[in-house]
Amino acid sequence: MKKIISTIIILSFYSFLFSQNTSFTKASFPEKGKELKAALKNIKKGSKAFDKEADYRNAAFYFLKANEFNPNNAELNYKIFLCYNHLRKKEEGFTYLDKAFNLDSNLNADITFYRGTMHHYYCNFDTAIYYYTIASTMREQAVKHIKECNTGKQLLENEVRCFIDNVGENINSKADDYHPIITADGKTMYFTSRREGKGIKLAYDGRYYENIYVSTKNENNQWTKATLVSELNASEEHSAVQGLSNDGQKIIIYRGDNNGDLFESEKRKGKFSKPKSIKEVNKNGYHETSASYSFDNKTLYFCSDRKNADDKHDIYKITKNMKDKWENIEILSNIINTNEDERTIFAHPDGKTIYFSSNGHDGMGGYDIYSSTFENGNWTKPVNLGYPINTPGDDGHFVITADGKYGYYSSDKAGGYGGSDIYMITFLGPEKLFVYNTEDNLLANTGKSFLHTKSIKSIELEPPKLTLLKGKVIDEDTKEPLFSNIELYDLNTDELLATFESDEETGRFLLSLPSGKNYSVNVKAEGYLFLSQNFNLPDSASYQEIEQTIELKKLVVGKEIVLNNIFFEFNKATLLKESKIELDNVYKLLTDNPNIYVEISGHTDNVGSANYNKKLSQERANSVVNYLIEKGITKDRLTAVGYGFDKPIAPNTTEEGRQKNRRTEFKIVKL
Amino acid sequence: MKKYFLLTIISFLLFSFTYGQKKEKIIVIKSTEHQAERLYNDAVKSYESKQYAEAIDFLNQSLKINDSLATSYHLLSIIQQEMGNKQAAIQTLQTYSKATHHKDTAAYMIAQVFYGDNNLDSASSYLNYCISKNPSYFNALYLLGNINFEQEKYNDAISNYTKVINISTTSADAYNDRASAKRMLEKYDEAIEDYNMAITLKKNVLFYNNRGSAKMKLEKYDEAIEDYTTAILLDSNCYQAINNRGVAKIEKKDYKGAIEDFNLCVKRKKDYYAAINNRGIAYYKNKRYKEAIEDFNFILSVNPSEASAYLHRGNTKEMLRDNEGACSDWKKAAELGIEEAKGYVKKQCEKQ
Repeated sequence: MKKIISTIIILSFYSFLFSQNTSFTKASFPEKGKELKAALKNIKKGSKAFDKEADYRNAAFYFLKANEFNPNNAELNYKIFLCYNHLRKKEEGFTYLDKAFNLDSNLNADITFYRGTMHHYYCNFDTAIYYYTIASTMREQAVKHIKECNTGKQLLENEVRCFIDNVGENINSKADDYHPIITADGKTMYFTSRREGKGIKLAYDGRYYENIYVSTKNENNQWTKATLVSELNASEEHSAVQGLSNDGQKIIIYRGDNNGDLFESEKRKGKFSKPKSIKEVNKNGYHETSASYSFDNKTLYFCSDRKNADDKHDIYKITKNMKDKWENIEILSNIINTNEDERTIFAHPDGKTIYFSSNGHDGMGGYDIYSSTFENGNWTKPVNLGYPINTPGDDGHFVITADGKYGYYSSDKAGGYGGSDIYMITFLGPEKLFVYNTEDNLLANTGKSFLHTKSIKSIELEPPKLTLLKGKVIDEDTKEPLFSNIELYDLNTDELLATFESDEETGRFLLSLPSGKNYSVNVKAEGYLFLSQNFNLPDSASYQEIEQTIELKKLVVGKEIVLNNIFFEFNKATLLKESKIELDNVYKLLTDNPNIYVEISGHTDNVGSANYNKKLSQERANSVVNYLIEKGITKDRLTAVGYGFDKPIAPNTTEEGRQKNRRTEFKIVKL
Repeated sequence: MKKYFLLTIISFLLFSFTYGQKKEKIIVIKSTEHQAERLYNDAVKSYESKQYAEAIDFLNQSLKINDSLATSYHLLSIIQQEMGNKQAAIQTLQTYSKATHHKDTAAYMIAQVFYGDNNLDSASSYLNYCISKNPSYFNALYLLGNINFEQEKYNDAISNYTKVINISTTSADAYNDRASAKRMLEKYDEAIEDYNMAITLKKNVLFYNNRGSAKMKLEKYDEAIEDYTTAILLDSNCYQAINNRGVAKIEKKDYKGAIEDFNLCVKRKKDYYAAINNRGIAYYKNKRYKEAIEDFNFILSVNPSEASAYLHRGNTKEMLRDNEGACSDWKKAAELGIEEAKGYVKKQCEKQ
C-alpha cells in the first residue's frame, strides 16, 4: 500500500508541474476575449443540457467545444467525464476524469471515488481500493467496490483459458452493439445496436434508438456484414433482440411499450411476422427484458423488475400448457436471484444450464456473467465465468454455442470500436499439463541427487451432453424444400416434448436433443408420408452434431416408408410399449386419409433359417395390423406380409446392416 | 601385539567414518616399531604419488610379515579398485576376513566395495552379515539405511536410520536421511520434524533445501521459499535450491520472480536443463510465449527425445494460435509416451 501511495504522490507532483488548473476568465486569456466568450456560451449550453434536460450527448458536445479552447480546466474536464459516464462511455470519460484529477485533486468530494472507479475499471485493484478507502462520499458503493476489487484480484489470478476476439467491424460499430443471440449451431447472430442509420432517430438519452441486426456466417466461417431486420424494428422506439429459439424460427424482442415489454415473432417465408406482445409475461407498469427459450421452446426464461421495481430485475420462467399457451409464472429461487439486479438470461440447448448476468453475486465490478445448472430439482450455486470473460465493466448478454466451444457476449471493456462491442470467446478448456523439474540431495553423505517431476493437471470439464440434429426437409422427387412439422417424443414416457417447424423457405430445421432420453423425431408434412427416426441417447451420450436431409414421400401408390420406431420383444412378435407413438402416427395417417390402403410388411436379417425368419416377420406384421384394427381401422385396408430376409436394404455382413434390415415397413397399395 | 591390534582397529574406525567420501582417506600409522607398519607407510607414500605398482609391492611385503594388518589390506583393496580391479579388491578383503577376528569390519569393507560398484544387493548382504556380528556397528547401519533408501525400501531405511540415531543422538545427517525416507513415503509432517531436528543440530544447506521441498509437498509455498532462501544464503552456488525456489514461486504465481531464479540458476550451472525447462513454463505462465518457445527449443536441440519439451512447446504454440504447430508437437509428445498429449491430439487435432 505504501508503494501505491508514494507512486500516486509522485505522479500527482509531475502532473502539477506540467499543467495548471486554468479558469475561464479574462485574466487567464487576456488576448482572447472573443474566443473566451464563445467558450463560456458553450459551457452554459452544455450545463443546461446536463442539468435541466439530462441530455448528456448534447451536453458533452458543448463542453467538448469549450474544452477545445481551454483543455486545462478541472471542472470542465470533470463535467465531460460525467457526461460520458451517463452515456456509458466509460473509457472515453476516464481520460477527462484523469485530467480533472491531475489539475485539481480536491475539485470536489466525489472525484476521489470516481478516481477509484477508473482504476477499478482498468483492473488496478490495489490502487482502486486505496481511493475507495479514502473517498469521503458514496461510502456504501465504495465498500461494495472494495469487495469487488478483492474478488477481481482472485479472478485475475485464476484467469480462464480462452481467446477473446472482437467479432469485427461487420458486426460492431462505434455505437453500442450488444446482446448477441445465436442459433444453436452458431451460424446466425442477431444483435442490438444503437448505431446511426437511415431513418433511425435519436432517443431521449441522446443516443440512437435500439434496432435489431442480423449477420450470418459465410462459407469461410466469417461473419457477413450485418443488416437491419427491418420487420422487427420500429422507428421511434427501442427494438432490442432478447431471445431466439435454437432453430432461429422464433424471436423475442424488447420494446419500450408499457415501461418495457417482451414481444414474440415467428419466421414465415424468410421474414419475421409482426411482433406480438407476450401478454402472459408482460406486467403492466413493470420492465420485462431479456428472455430465452428452453431447448424445447416449452419454457421461457425472462427478467422482470415486478418484484422489486427500482430497476432491480429477477429471473422468472413461464411454461407452455397442453394448449400451447404460456402459463404458470415462477420466480427462480434465491440461489439465482439476489436483492440486486439480475438481467440477461440465456438457456443453453443442453436443457439444464442457464447463463445470466448480475451485479448482486460475488463479482469483480459492474455486471458479471454467471452460470448455474438445474440438478436434482435445484439450481446450483452460480459460478462466476471468471476473468477475462468478466471484467470490472458491465458484462452480460452471454450466449454459448451448443458444443460449448464458443461464446458471444457484449462488453464495454477497454478497446474495441466504441461503446459496447460484441466479442467471441474461444474456450481453450482447462490448463494443459506441465511437468516441472526439481532436484534435491536427499541423503546427506552420498552426493547423489534425486530428480523429481511435478505434473500439474487440471480437472477436465465435461462438455455439454446433447445432440444437435439439423438439416433440411425436402420433397423426395422434386428436392424442393418443404415446410413440415417436427414432433419430438420421449419414447419411454410417450410424452410429446416439443414441436418444431422447418423453415418455409429453406426447409431447414434444427433440434437440440439433450442426452438422457430415447427420442422419436417425427417429420410430417401435408400430402406426404411421415418419416420417423429414433435417437436413443443415454445420459452419457456426448455432444454430437448430425446433419440430415430428410426426404418426404408423397402420398401416392407404391411409396413406402420404414417405421423406425416400432420395436418388438427379442425373437418375438410382441410389440414393445415404445412402439405406441409410431403406431399412433400410422393410425392418424390412415384416419386422415381414409382412402389409403396399405401393406404392413415385416423384415428380418439373415440370422437363422429362412422359414423361421419368414414366420417371425409375418407375425410381427400381423401384430401391427392387429393393433390398427383394434384402434378402428377396417380390416380390408390393411395387408400384413412377412418377407423374412428376402428384401434387405443393407448388407447383412455388419451389425449395423443387420439392424437396418430388421424393420417394419408401410407401403401404400391403393389410393 | 595387543597394542598392535588396537591401533589397527582405531585406524579402521577412522577410515570407516569417511566411507561416503569420494576419495578414501588413507591412514598413516604413526607407530613404526614394526617392519610391516613401516612398509605400509612406504606404500601410502607410493600410493599418494600414484606409484601403484610400487605401493602394491610394499603392501605385499607388509602382509607377508603380518598377514593380519588391516590397513594394508584396506589400502591394497583401494589401489585395486582405483586400478579398476574391483574383483581383486574384494578378494583382498575376503582374504583379510579369513585372517582376522574382526569379521564385522571385514564384511563392512567388502560391502563398501560392492556399494562403490553399485552392486547394492551384495553390499546389503555383507552389511547384514556385519550387523549380525555387531548390531551396533554405526557405519554399517548407516550404509545399509542408504542402500535401502536407494532401493526404495524406505521403511527399512527408516529402521536403519533410527538405529543409527539411537547410537548417536547428535547425528544431524541421520535425521536428515530419515526425514528424506519419510518424505518418500509421503509422511511429510514427520519428515519436517526430522529435518527440523537435523537443522537444530547443524545448519546445513542440504537440510534447508530438503525441508523446503517437503513443505512444497504440503503446498506451504511461502515456508518453502523461506527455506530455499536460507539454503541459498548458506551457499550461493546451491543451484538446486535456486531452481526449487523458482518452482515454488511459479506455484505462488510470482512468475517474474520465478524467471529471475531460473536465470540465476542457469548462471550458477550453465545448461541446467531442469531450470531451463522450468523457466520455459514460467515464461508461458507470464504470457511470454516466444521466450518460452526458445527455452523448449533449446532443450530439444540438446535432447530431441525429451517428451515433456514437446508437450510444453505444443502447449505454448496453442496460445500463439499456431494450431498446426501445437498438434505436431503434441503428436510427438504422445509418441514419446505422454498420455495427456494423446488426449489433446484426439480432442483438438483430429477433425471431428
